Amino acid sequence: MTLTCKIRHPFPVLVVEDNPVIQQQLKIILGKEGFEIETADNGECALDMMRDRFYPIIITDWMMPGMNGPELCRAIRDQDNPGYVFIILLTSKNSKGDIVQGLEAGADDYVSKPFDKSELVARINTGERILELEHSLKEANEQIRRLSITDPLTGCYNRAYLSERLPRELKMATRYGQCLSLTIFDIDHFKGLNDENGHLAGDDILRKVTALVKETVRTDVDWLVRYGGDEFLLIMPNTPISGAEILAERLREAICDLSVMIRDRRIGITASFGVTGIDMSNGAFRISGDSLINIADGYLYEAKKAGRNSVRAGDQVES
Amino acid sequence: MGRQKGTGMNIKENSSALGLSEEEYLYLLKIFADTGMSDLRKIQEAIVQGDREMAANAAHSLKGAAGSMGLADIYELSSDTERLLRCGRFDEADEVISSLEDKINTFEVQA
Repeated sequence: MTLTCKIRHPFPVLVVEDNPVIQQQLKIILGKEGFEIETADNGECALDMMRDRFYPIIITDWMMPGMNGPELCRAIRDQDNPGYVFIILLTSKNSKGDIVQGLEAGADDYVSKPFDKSELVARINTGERILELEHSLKEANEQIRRLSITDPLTGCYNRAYLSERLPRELKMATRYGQCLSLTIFDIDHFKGLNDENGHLAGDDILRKVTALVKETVRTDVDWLVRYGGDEFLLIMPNTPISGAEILAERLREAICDLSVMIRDRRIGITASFGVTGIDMSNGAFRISGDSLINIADGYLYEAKKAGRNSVRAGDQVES
Repeated sequence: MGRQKGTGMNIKENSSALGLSEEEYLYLLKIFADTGMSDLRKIQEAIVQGDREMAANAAHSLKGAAGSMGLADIYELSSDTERLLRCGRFDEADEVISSLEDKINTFEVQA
């Protein structure tokens, strides 16, 4: 739960009622129950207030001059709200047909006038339960979403996220005539490190390296994907290859300086980098994420061939 | 406090039935008297204009407020008024309206 202090009612209840007597009475009675009450004289006024602040619980009268209760319900259901709005219709209409009409307009519940205080409070509490349920479902959904796009070991994005976001980034670069760079890197002789020191040590190395990379790149702009076992992709929107190459060089040095202690022994790590990118500033062209990765992979291969612990960059299409 | 003179109503009972202090009840009663008088004026104007719906709606509003304050007699009278106005029986409504006016006037003086 994100609610920091567990006050009984963490949000204001909006009372929409044209009659000043009932409006003030609701304000006094619900105020005593610990609710913060704000009031509106009719539907239009309520909608205006909702533009400035979110009211998850609304108690509205049925008959009001201008926009009435059912019309307000419909307007609220038709607009985009930050969360669910629980609407209680306050009405002296008691026929089944009227009640059905009110519920069909989008009300969640109704209370007959003259209202009974404990009944009204009980119905507001029902609304709160539903809103809390909505809140926890939303949180669970967000967590599932986070898990589904994250590599559990390193906390980097996974390939599922790569295939979802890279096409979007390419589209953005195309639309706004920008450049975009992509670096692929892996840890030199990782298999040997693993065999020599055990998989837990290997995991530790992967975590340390990714933490270092995440610290170095631009937060919320550049993003890092675990592509394979020890292979990572760094995507840098609005960055020319030259910039990406400088960054790769910096990362290469930082990884060299990284000290990973395993059983009181310092293990030296190095990494190799292949950097490429596109520049759409002089006109757009079509290129897929996969071909961009292939090009970068070609440069990574060159970096390996050149003796590892190095950076190779360029924009040559693979031959 | 006890019984309000002339109104035949028990402030103590009414307020506690609504979960209000006597002070809060009297505060609302004052608002009731003001809006009640303005509802009555609206009804009369609407009758003059021959606007049934507007007249009935004003009576409906008065009825709602009376109900919420636990004012049984005014609730009954305004409920009758609303019904009569909805079917355009203005003359019959007129009589009920004048007794409503008397009742609400007593609040205006006292509240």
